[in-house]
Amino acid sequence: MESFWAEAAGRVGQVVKKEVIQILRDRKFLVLVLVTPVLQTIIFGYVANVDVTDIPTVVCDQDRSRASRELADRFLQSGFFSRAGTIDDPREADGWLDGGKAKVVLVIPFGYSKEVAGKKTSEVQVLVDATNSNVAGIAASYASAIVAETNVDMLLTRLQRIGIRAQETVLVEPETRVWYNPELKSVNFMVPGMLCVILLTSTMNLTGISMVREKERGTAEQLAVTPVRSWEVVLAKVLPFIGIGFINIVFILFLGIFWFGVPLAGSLGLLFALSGIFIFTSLGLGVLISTVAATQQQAMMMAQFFMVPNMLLSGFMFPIANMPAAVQYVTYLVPLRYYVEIVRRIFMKGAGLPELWNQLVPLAVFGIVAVGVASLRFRKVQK
Amino acid sequence: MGITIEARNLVRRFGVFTAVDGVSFAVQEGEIFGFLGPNGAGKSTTIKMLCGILAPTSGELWVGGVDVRTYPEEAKHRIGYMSQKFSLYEDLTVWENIEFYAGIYRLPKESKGGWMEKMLALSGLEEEKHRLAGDLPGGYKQRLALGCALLHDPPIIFLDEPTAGVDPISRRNFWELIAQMAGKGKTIFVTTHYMDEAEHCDRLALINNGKIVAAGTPTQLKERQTGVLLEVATLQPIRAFALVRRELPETNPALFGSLLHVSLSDRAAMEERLLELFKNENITVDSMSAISFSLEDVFCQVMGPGGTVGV
Repeated sequence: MESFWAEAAGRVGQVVKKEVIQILRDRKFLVLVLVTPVLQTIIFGYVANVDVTDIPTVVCDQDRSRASRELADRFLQSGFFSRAGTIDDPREADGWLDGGKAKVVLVIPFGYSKEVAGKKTSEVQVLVDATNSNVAGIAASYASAIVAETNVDMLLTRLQRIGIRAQETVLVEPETRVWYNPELKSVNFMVPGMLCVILLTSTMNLTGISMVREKERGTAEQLAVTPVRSWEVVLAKVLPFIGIGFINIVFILFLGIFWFGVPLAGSLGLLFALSGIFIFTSLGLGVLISTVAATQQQAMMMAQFFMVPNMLLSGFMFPIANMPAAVQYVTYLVPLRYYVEIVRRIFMKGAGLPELWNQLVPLAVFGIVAVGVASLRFRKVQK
Repeated sequence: MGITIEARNLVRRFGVFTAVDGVSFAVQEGEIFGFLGPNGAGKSTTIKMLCGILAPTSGELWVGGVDVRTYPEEAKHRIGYMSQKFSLYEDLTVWENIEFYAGIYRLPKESKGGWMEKMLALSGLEEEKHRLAGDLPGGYKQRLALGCALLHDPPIIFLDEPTAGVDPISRRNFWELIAQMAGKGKTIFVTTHYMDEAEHCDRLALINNGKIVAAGTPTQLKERQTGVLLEVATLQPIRAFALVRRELPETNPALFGSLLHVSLSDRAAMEERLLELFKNENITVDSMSAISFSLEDVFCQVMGPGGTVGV
């Protein structure tokens, strides 16, 4: 007679073996599982670029003076604005903005150079298409910064004329140092986030589907008459998908680091270890879904239902700090939130375990609760 | 030979619907026990409770001397179960399915290979060893399912409508297998709604609306019928059937091809009445003769509106 544990391990091994044969035999499934995350990473990596540069800009220079050309050049050479066209009449601006051919229109009025040379304030108009409020806000602040710079330069020139040298003027100049992402590249921020979202999708959906398939085909009932225990089945169903989860991580990391050039500041080993905990949590959720869903479609729908709050509230796309206070509390209920934080901190700040405990503990608690509830619900005896 | 399966006052409700309503029976070791009834009568629900995969609402049940309610896992080593629906892995080959169940039941290493080969031979699937189970014809699938259910050599076998949707030749082969198993001392509990299959059983229980309405050996059930069974040959069987059902429902009319069967408790008085009815409706009767009850007649009688037979 085998011991209790040897027997259990033998049965788990048998179910894992069966599961692996099934996964390898289902070519379409295999392609779906391995190729989709790679494609998603590539698409996301290119698309999810929130850096605002080269905003198409139309210049309406009514003044046609040296000063007005200088101002326009300051805009166009900043790298943030690029010339999409030139117009003479400010009324033409509508057409450019409505048609989406330009996002910004810079209008320098008649008499700009005279006003500037004299002691009058001149008004330069910057029209911004705010369909995307995010881009509009950034464009507007760049524009103000450029105008402010122009003001300072003009001021300095005048002071110089009356004998005060630039070195003697007192100006407060902020000196900003950007930490953790010195190049301010959004891909450095997005790739770690994508890793999290893709991992959640692939592992949670797949286990859910694989468990429900067993129910749908009646094989779950056949298993129920055998001496195999519920937790043995749950464990054996989850193990192959942990493997798939890690394969996905390797692919995404490879693409992120070598293709998109995202620097990994922290330890790869730690990233893998903590990802293991996240995979466990996410698989637990998948199993939990499978105990509620009766068909594969239902399981898919439920997983989808679960995905949306995870995407929106995890801080993957929208910063949690910008959310209303009440919503910020809700984000604590979203397991992806902790993992996104962990991965970004390891990637960008090189954080170690001591800095990550506060994220790790809630994540693990989620996993234990999900797997526990799922095992209880995945009863062999129907009540 | 002792009792190996016993149910006492077994009840199972699903919400307000009572699927099994106070069923009691006992099955002897080495018996083929048939559970006969129309669809939805409660056959599968009963078998699932006996296998320990569905909890009874109330009542007691023992399988192989184990109280299934308290120790469902203990009972599982003693039973083999074949469900109504083919429930092996269609994307695994015949051999992989057998290997899987051998592993799940932890067959000892020394005898495992031998048993697997033996079950493959019993299923008659040596040639199909490496075919995907999903690609097998219906009859082969059933035999593979039986083979897998028998891998761990259980003394008790539950078969839930094992031959549903299987061609007649495969059905006969299948029943030969079942007879062989019983010959080796295995207890077989089988549900069916095929009358010819019911004839193969040592004892039967007829179930309808969750209640056992008759029980006994096939011979006892037939003999217990009171009155006379008349077989009426007519050119208008459907009209005749409708007429008798309307006017004399207590005779439990049933159509057997183009022949009408009616059972009469008092032949002398009822025969007159019947002939008169036919005459009034211009139904020509070619012949009318008393025949012995078949199991199917018993079934129709018991399941019919007027019918109950002493249990």
